[in-house]
Amino acid sequence: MAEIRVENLHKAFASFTAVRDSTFTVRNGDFFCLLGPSGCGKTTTLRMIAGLELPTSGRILLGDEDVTFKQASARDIAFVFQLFALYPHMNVRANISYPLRSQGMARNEVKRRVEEAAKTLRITHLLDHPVSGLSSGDRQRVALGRAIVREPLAFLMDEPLGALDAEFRELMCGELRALHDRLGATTVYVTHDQLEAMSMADTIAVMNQGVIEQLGSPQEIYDRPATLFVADFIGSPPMNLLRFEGRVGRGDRNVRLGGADVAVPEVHEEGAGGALVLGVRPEHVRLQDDAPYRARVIDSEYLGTTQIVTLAGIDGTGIKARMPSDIAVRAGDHVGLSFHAEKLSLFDGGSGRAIRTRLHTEAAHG
Amino acid sequence: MSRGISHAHSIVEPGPLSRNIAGIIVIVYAVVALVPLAWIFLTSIKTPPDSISYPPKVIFDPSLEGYCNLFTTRSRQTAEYLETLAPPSGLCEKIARDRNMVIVGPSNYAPRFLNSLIIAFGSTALSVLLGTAAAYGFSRFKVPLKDDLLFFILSTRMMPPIAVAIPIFLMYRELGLSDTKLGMILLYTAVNVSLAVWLLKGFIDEIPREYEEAAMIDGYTRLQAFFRVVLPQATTGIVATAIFCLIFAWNEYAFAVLLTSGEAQTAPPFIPTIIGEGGQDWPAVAAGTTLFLVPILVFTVLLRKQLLRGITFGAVRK
Ligand SMILES: Nc1ncnc2c1ncn2[C@@H]1O[C@H](COP(=O)(O)OP(=O)(O)O)[C@@H](O)[C@H]1O
Ligand SMILES: [Mg+2]
Repeated sequence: MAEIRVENLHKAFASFTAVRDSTFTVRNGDFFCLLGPSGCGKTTTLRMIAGLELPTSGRILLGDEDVTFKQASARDIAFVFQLFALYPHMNVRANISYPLRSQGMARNEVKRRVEEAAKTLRITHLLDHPVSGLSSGDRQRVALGRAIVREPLAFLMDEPLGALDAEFRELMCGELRALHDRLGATTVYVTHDQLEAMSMADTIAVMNQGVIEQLGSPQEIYDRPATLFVADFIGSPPMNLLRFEGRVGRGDRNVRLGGADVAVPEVHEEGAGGALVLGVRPEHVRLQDDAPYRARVIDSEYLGTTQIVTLAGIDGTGIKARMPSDIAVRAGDHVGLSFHAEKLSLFDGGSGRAIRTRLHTEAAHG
Repeated sequence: MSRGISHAHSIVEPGPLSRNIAGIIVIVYAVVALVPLAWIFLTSIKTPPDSISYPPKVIFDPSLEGYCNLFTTRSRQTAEYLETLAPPSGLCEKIARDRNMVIVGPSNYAPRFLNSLIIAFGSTALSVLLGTAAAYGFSRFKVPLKDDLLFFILSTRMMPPIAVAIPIFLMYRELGLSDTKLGMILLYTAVNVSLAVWLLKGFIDEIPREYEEAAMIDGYTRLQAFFRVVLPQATTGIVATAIFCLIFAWNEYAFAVLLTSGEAQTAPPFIPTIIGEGGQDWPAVAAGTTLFLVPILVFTVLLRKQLLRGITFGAVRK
């Protein structure tokens, strides 16, 4: 197992830049998720780490070795492809043993390792089957088997659950994480599905248009999104972004929004002005009849224990609120909204950057 | 779908009426297409007089005279001379004696047939080899001017090859390639390779790159990945391409007439030159044609399985 360091990685296809100046470190044994919408450069980043694509500039270090321009076959990294890419003309055993046979490993050692991997993944009974008849879940396991059998320095997985049915995906999520915990293997996992990333990752890198917007634990990313993009991308429904014009400065604890004073975490930087954005998670919105921020109920979506209520502020801003289902709301109701002050985020609307507040400082102090 | 319950039309399964119509069309077509072949085969087992009798004989005593004549050369002798000879040793000798002839040696059919085999299979192998390599390159790598090159390759087929027969004839004479097997192999390869590149590129494009990439991640070089992972997947395409190339090279007549006359002559220009006494020896010509059909038939039937097998066996979900 080894640490992966990516330094100023850049990749351009002709005039199009797919990955822009990426720098991050995947700690030894970390489950690291590259999360972002389709086309943001996740696969390209992963392929450069694997050696299937050469970077335009930048460095990739595996352990302490610079592998930037090494052949894929010389990197000792396992890769799980989105479409599994099992060799169709070989059976399950041959597929799993294929990476071992390239090393010229002794026959009985190969057999032992393959059977061990198969046992770990509970596919021993499939070893002598052709891969063509397998269910997608079993194919996924065979692909994983081919990866773990080598005991590589790191695992790279490109949306490995993307081709599975929804119910199976959840199951495999759990299995993948359990496998990771057992092997303690450094893993870089690419997905566009925030739930997968949230539930599995130790560290998430949120990517957008080739740029890593934020690096952090799932909780950090959820609680303290570093940019408007992250705030909007993470969470279902995502964070409400209430735009307003104004100024904030160091020490401010209020912003003026929609004709109401709204309490926010104390601002801890010099301040910003002009277009600002208040970020409110749906679960931090409460109905409060006498609250000064007024809104109208548009609609409510019942989800069992909770409901998602869609509201419109006075200026027409759409707001989603998550609240217990037993709170009765009717479309057309006029209500007051209060926000959970300590949890709110502030953004500079121009740059999209989060404004530092007590939220950040407190987290930094633990 | 259960027939007992549902009477609704299926949009994918033909109904009984259209099935019958389709069956009739196929049978009629097969008869039309097979009659000439049957005629050739029947002629090959007639005697020369039967083969030219009018009205044509449908019922006749089969004879191997055509096949004997195909493989031998004979000369007519006087009855007195024939009396002095020992009794005929084989079937063909006997047939010859009945016509007052003796066999004086083998004909050129066997060597011409062998030439055909060497030239057709040689050029097919070369076309498929070059085609596979070029198609893989075009399919997987950034080739400068890729589209132009592919179009150029295709454009070599836009004129009927025979249109350049005269320049090629002169060129071959200068180069000493006239009437050589190598010359014919190169010529047929030049014609076939464009077809091979285009056909194979289509097949190789269909093979997901991930297979090779997986193999490279698994510790193999690109070349190893090509041989172990791509080639087995491309078998269907390679076989289909080989059959097309082989059929062209095997049947080619015009260039063979023009460029070969002796050492490298193939069977197609040779067969019509088989002459008997007082005109064409039709049973021998028919026998030569019948035998000429066999290699393609065998090759196609042997490779039928490969041809029909799916490309990826559904192991990758698309
Ligand atoms: N080989 C390539 N040539 C040109 N553009 C490419 C190539 N590979 C990827 N791209 C482009 O780079 C961008 C990022 O692609 P990718 O890394 O596959 O995104 P993701 O995996 O995040 O969906 C996309 O816009 C894609 O069109
Ligand atoms: Mg991708």
